[in-house]
Amino acid sequence: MSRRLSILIYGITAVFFALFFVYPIGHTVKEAFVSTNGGFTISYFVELFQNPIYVEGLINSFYMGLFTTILALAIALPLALLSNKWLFPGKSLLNSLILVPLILPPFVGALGVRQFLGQSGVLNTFLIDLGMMEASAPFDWLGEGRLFGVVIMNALHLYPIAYLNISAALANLDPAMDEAAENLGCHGIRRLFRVTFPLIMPGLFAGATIIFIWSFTELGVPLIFDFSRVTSVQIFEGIKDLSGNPFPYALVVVMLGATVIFYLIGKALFGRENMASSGRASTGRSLRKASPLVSAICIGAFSIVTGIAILPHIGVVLLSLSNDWYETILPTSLTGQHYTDALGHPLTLNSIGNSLKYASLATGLDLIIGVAVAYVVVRTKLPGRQFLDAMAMLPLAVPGLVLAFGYLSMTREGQPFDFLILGEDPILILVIAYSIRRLPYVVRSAAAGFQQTSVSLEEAAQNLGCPPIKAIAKVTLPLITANLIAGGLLAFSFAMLEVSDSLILAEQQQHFPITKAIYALISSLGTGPNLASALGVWAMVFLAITIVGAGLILGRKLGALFRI
Amino acid sequence: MIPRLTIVLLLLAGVLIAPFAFRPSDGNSDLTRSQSERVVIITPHNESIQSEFARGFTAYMKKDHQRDVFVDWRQPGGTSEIARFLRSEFATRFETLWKKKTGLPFSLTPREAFANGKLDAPLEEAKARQGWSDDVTLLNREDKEQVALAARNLFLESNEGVGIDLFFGGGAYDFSKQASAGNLVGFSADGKYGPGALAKERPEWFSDEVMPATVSGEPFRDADFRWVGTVLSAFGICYNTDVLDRLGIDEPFRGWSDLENPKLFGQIALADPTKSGSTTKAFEMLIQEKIQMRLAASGLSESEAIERGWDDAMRLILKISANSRYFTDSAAKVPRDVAMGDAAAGMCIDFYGRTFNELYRREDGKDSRVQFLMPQGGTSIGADPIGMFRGAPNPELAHRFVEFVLSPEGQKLWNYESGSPGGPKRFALRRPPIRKDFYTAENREFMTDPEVNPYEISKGFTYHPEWTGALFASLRFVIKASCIDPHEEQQEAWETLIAAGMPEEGVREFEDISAISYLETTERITDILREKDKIKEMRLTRELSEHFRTHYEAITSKWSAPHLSPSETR
Repeated sequence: MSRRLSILIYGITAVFFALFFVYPIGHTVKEAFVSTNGGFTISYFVELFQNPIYVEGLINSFYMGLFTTILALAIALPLALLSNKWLFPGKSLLNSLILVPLILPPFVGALGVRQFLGQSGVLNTFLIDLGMMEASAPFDWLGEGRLFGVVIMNALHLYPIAYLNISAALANLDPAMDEAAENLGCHGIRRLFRVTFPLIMPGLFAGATIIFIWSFTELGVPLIFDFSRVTSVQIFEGIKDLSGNPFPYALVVVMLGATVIFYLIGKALFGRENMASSGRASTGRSLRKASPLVSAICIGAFSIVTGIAILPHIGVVLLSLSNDWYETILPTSLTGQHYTDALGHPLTLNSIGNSLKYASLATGLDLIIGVAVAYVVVRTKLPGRQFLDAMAMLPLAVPGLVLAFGYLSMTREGQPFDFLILGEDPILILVIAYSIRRLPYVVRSAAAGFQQTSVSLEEAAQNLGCPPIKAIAKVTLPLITANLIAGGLLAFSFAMLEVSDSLILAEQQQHFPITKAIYALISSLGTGPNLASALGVWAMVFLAITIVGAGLILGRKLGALFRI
Repeated sequence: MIPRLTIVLLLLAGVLIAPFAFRPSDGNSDLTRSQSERVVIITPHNESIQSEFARGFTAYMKKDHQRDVFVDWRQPGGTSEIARFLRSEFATRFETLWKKKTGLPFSLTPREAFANGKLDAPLEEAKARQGWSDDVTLLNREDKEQVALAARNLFLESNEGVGIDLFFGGGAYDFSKQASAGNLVGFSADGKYGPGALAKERPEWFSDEVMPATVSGEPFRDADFRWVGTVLSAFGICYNTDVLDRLGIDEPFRGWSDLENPKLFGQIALADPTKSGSTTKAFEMLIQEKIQMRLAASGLSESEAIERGWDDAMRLILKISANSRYFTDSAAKVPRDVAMGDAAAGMCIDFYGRTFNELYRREDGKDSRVQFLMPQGGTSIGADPIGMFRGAPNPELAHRFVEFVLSPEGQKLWNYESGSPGGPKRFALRRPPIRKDFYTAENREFMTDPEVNPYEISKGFTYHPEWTGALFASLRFVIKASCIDPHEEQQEAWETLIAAGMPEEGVREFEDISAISYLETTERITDILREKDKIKEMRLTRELSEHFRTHYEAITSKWSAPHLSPSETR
């Protein structure tokens, strides 16, 4: 690509970020740098670091991120390797179900977890029935879980991200490499470590960074366990505090800074590899049909992991169908009334349409910008591109409310961006907000794809007379379609389940997306949680069909799309 | 691939169409109602209250005034989100006005001054003096005091609004803050509409027989009608009888003191006072109860009773906090966790308590696993208000809404059984109306809670604002520093003491509240908070929470099992 074009793309994406990411955050957190009499100060930061409670919070957050990432990789890697090698019955279905843990709707997801892990919940009832627990002393999983519980739950929620990225990376591997290594006497585990891992590092890194940043800054899961000694919860509590002290914004700045540092360190250590294969597969890869024993292992591994990971989802489903569910393994009585009430609620129809609209538009925008950013970062040598890369990851780390309030302020009447509100319709700012937040998935996936696809293919095309842009469009992009679909699916699903921007920016009921409708319904007296669960189930079913359907249609599994 | 594609598309289509099949047949599903008049209301009220009042109001306007109206609810979140939202919105609007009128930048001085109620008195003085000019173009931008007063004046004289008509729901504290900031007004710009105008039209409604201005020391409306109570609420204790049985607690709960029982360790659900004025109020009631108890004990002067009572209350709060699982900002989380057995008891609002009690009534209709009680002497009845904003886009319709809510018809929605004539259609709201003349035999026939008359209940307790009213913000502060921030360490210390058999010496050490005693709080802490220096506040928080943290850690290490000789362990 010509240098001029690269610079243009670089410029456009940088400006987009500056306007819709740096500016709203800056707007909100600038209070952390202003002293009481209006001058610049870093006293808040000094105070912060002198307070052991916040330092401990930062340390706990780091552990949360680190252990979640390790556990998630430990879960995803074996599954991806198995899937890449063997053919076993039910594979396409199990593969497609891998992503389901990701689509847990907000607010009701926590209730679903509580149904299982609460003191009068399913797990305890089960253990009491088995005689393994005293009825008078049920274990308080949620109360005692703390960091341990948070890490496990996070890992079970996020491992699909690693799986997706690793699978795509494995799919892009040239089987000839494997065979060459085999021929040269490198077998089994050794080959795994010396050949396969280095080659799939981009994919591994893509998954690991997203998971680390996500879990380092995760808010919802610590709240489920009432574990408040982490930075994300301290920020959340601080923002809501009536005293209006700006110190949580100082914490935000610290958390964002830490995220950038960790990301750059991680990239320096693991992400530099540009080990593009020399070309597309020169031989076809054939999956070996697994023996019954291996089949059983494969099916077992996938089923157990997915089964445990979707317990909260099952909890939500059962909540939506139950009246009371207390101290029993299954709800005492089932009813479909909540579906009638929820789906027939005036809020629902609109919110579904709105969510679909906002999420699709945002995903489209993400694909364009994400590919552009990834291209600049991987293919060009422009200065400062690493910084652009780190910035593209930051949306994962920014606390929802901070960005949401920033967007709100800048689109008010009289403010620089008030033209983004069409009449009273916030659709433009919502789409932009959603797309900024989901950008990391597409950027990482596209970057991994670019890293694994040799630039020599483009150069060859250009040598043959194809203009640079066309070369990218006709040669490279099709090759990284697997990655783009992976990133796009993640972006779409999470856009449908987005919380903070939806709560703050969608003010009028006619503009509510599903998540705000769930929030509104949950507050209904009495059956609120059940109604909200019904709507949550609808969202889950829709996303599950989308994800599983995409997986099934695109041929077996998302990672193994393109073999020649 | 084609068959698969077809199946997937069909499934998707089915899922997308399903909601259409369920849509209600009445016209209520139209959220836009572009033809109708609109009143915009920002509210933390739950969805049930929203839909019942929207339904009631639109029906009332159709029937009595032949007008098509609809209610546009805005809910950015709970009370603290709304407060933030309003602060930011008014600041943004005023910034535009300030820049236009004065040409000056919207620096820190005008930004902090325009919504500062404390400037009202100096402003009056300045206006009375010679040489005051309303003309802001003559401002000397170096004179900070002048700029501040000018900003405040400009705001108060303006009709700058945020596109919202009414603020509906919350506590008297939240509304007082909005009123003193100047965001709420008693009269619209032309003076024709608003709660103040309503009071002029219907003085009989605002008499002592119908809606008194204060009851037992609690304000039920603003003196200038910038907000008016619409329904009453109180904080109480909800508890789960199954869990209490399991924990071996036989004595029935009577009041807040029962929550310090060590058997309740890890089983109490508390609301967070730093996020909600109403919750702070609940804690304040705890203190007032202790002061009352000290007063009743002979030989103490009022000031001594206040001091000792405050200290007693701090000790109690520390222990209840040590027993608690969390401090939550979500009002519904407490009763929900209690109902599902994840907490034995918790602090919750009356109507949640009653609703959950009803919801989990057992088959024989007699008992429920969720019980609710209002601690005698430890609770006060407060008003849940409504107020009109400055610059409301549709003040006339806002006026009608307020009128409806305060009318006998509107008040029925709060406590009539669902489906009863004039009552809510879908779900009973279980809240005591504010109109004293509502509590009649005719109404009681349809009430969900005929035995609840808050005016009778409130006779048993009087709130004395002079005792603790000035310490409201400080109370939040000391609870945060002594209980919320070092909560983990506090729980560990308490757990250690419980395991060691509650040694008297240990408990006394735990109860050391000298750093947040009445004297400390009124003298040192309140003074620092009054300075409004955020960095100093942060420093003070750190000092206090560190003090308590190390204090708790010391208790834990001192009383941990290995340190006790065999004869001392149980």
